[in-house]
Amino acid sequence: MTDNSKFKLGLFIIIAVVVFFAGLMILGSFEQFKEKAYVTTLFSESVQGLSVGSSVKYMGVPVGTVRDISIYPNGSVIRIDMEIKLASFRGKTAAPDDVNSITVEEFQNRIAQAVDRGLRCRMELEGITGSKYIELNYDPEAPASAIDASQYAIDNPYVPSLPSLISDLRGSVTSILAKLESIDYKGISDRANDTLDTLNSRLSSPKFDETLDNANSMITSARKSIENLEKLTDADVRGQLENLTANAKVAIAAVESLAKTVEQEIKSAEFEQIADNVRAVLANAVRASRTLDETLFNVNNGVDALIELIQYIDSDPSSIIQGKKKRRIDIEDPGPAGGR
Amino acid sequence: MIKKLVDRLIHCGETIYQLKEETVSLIAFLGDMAAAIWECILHPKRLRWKDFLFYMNNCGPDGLPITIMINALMGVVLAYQAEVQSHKYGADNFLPMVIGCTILRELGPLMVAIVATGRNGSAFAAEIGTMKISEELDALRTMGIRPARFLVVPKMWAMLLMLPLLTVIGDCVGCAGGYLVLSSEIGMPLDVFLRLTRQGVAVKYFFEGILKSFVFAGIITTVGCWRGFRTGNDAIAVGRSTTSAVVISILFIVLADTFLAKMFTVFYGWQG
Amino acid sequence: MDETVSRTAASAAAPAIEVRDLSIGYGDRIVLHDLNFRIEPGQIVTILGGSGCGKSTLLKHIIGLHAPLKGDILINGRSIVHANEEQKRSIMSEFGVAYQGGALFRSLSLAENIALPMEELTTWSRQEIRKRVSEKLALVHLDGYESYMPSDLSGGMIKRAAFARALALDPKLLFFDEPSAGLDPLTSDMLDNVILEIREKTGATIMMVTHELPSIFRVSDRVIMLSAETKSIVDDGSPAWLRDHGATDYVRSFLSRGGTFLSSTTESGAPDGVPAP
Repeated sequence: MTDNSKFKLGLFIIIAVVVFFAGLMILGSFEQFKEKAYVTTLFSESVQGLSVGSSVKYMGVPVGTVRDISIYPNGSVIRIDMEIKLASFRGKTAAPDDVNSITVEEFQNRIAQAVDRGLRCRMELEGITGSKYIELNYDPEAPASAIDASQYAIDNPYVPSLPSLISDLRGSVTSILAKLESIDYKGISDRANDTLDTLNSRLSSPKFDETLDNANSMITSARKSIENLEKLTDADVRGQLENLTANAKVAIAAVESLAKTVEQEIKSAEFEQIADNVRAVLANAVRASRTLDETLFNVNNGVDALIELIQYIDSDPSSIIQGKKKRRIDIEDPGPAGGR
Repeated sequence: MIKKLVDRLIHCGETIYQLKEETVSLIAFLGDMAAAIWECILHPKRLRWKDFLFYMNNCGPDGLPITIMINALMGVVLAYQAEVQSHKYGADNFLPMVIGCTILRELGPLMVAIVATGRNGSAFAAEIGTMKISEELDALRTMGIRPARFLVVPKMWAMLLMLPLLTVIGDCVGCAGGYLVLSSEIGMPLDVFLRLTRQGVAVKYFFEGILKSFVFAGIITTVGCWRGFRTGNDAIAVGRSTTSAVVISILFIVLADTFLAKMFTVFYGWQG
Repeated sequence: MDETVSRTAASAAAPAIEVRDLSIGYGDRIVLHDLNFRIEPGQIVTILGGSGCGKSTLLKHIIGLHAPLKGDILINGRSIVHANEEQKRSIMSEFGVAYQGGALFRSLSLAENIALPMEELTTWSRQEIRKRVSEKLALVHLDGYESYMPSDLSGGMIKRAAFARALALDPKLLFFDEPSAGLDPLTSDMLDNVILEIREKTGATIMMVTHELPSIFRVSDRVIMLSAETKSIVDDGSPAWLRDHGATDYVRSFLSRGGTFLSSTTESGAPDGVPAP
């Protein structure tokens, strides 16, 4: 064994040991040598999902772990002891070098004050695995659990617990179910039936059909006036044109009033959809909408013809005087057959 | 046809008999070794300190370069493969945990042990085998010295001390290799990497790997020396025992690793 | 055969080695069976026989490395066959063995090799050990080679170093396995001188296995001749007596190959431990 190899061996051991402690430091195993304080809470519900080692968070900041879970002799109260890392709490002043200066007494005072201001413990789900953690948070309004902590000898600062979200949820679901049970389904259904009957009678009344017929005949007359316009001659252009405009105005006013009537009709029928008479209503509605469809189709056609006329006049104003020309149709030569 | 069958059966029987013989000899060797180790604990002066230092040097610093290289590359490969898969799902933040856990718990100790098997286990078998052929073992015995104390104990202590240290360095280098890939591929800064590693990797995993490496060190030395003592009487036998030392060591290491992985899972289950 | 018995029985009461009804072998294969002989203190005895007759195997049984199939071996009156591990080690520490290839530990220097039994089995101080090591090396004419490693030494030097190591604890009983095999005549001659010198200085009993007829005639008081055919002792006596009056032609012709050399040595007065009838 030469001196050189002894040196090598020594160096190797030193490096390995240094790396070992650096690794421990990075993985944070020296945490356990830091100063700690303890906080206790009591639960009167199942702590399923909570285990020794579960994390404890103060307003979401991980500050410690659950150290012990035990059951009191009465069998209904579970005691949870939590270990809190003091390093997570800043000292009195907010100075940067005062980070770790909180003492155990100071921490206990602070917890006592915080409990007065509404600090409570509550179990929360951690992820989707069903494991839980304990959240310390301010919730002065929520009703604290009905455990009298003075019955149990607790030497650590005591933080009252709140029922967990799950038990909260369970309570809420129960009350919602009770409310649902008290609803008068029969009455609602009867009223809905009445409403539908009214709607049905209105839609099937002759007045409604009449309105629609009126609209139809109006459109027909509008079309006629436009056809008349095409036959215009030089002599009576001016008068006819004026006449046409007046007719169109009347037609538009009629369409407007139709729309209003329909609107009123529909408004006066209170829609509320429930089972039995829906089929009948729909049948009427389908019929009505078909008639409406026809009407609209006619209106559309009339408007189209009007547009065509206006375009024609626009492209050839003399036609008002000369009458309509015959359209020339060009037929393209289809080329030699079987060319392919 | 029947003769062939009978031959087969005889062959099978011989193999089983040999297996039984080897098992018995391994158990006997373990007993001998345990007695020698105990003797050296009771009388530390009887430990061959010079040999102990020599083997420490041989198993530790001399094996460092290859260990560093293999472990760093392991970390690089692992990080690269994991990154390619998890990047698709945006799970980059889990990578330090995956790399840390895999290297600290499995790959670190395993790769260091496999390198040490190749470097030291085979050397132990060859050394003791050669000594057997040249009657040095007989010479030891007729001097009234227990060969196990003279030849096995220094190797055993050296391996037990050095392999965990190598594993510590191997773990560190493996994680560094993983970090290199993460920083170059997804630009993860060092402090983020360290924080995520710390979040995902428990200290117990680090100790788990080190404990494994103790077991592996025991296996490598035991099997290497055992195969050395079982060497036949010709020069080819040394080659054979070297090969069998490596093969059996790796087999036992993987078996032990499987067993330990299960054991630690159960243990962590208790711990909560 | 009755002559052999009478010749061995004639000597003093406490033999250095006594072999009783010894059968040796491996598993089903018997190598030698029903051996009986006694070796008196101060004798130099050679075990001789054709290749493969089990000379070295017999030696390994006598020094306790293998267990015999049957029979008993007593070393200085203590059975090495029935001894437990602790007793065996104590018996073994009473004799020295020089192996065929030297069997020096290659990781240790020459001095360390010779010091090893002293360090391991005695409570001697460092200085004393150093002194004794140089004494032993001087005995085999290797003084000045203390720090050499075995790989740096020649074959003859290794054999002499092995002698020195066998002598380390001043044993009264020495075993040499093929001390001069594969060496040139001059080196072989030198080793013979060393053997005689050792006996002269320490009065030790020496048992050796060899083929070298010149050495046998030069140093041996007695030859135990083994045969591979009968798997037992064929004859026992001084080399010259066996050459001239051997029980069978095989014995006589085996030994007479060294005849030319012997006329000058036996007549020069080599000690003849076994008196011819």
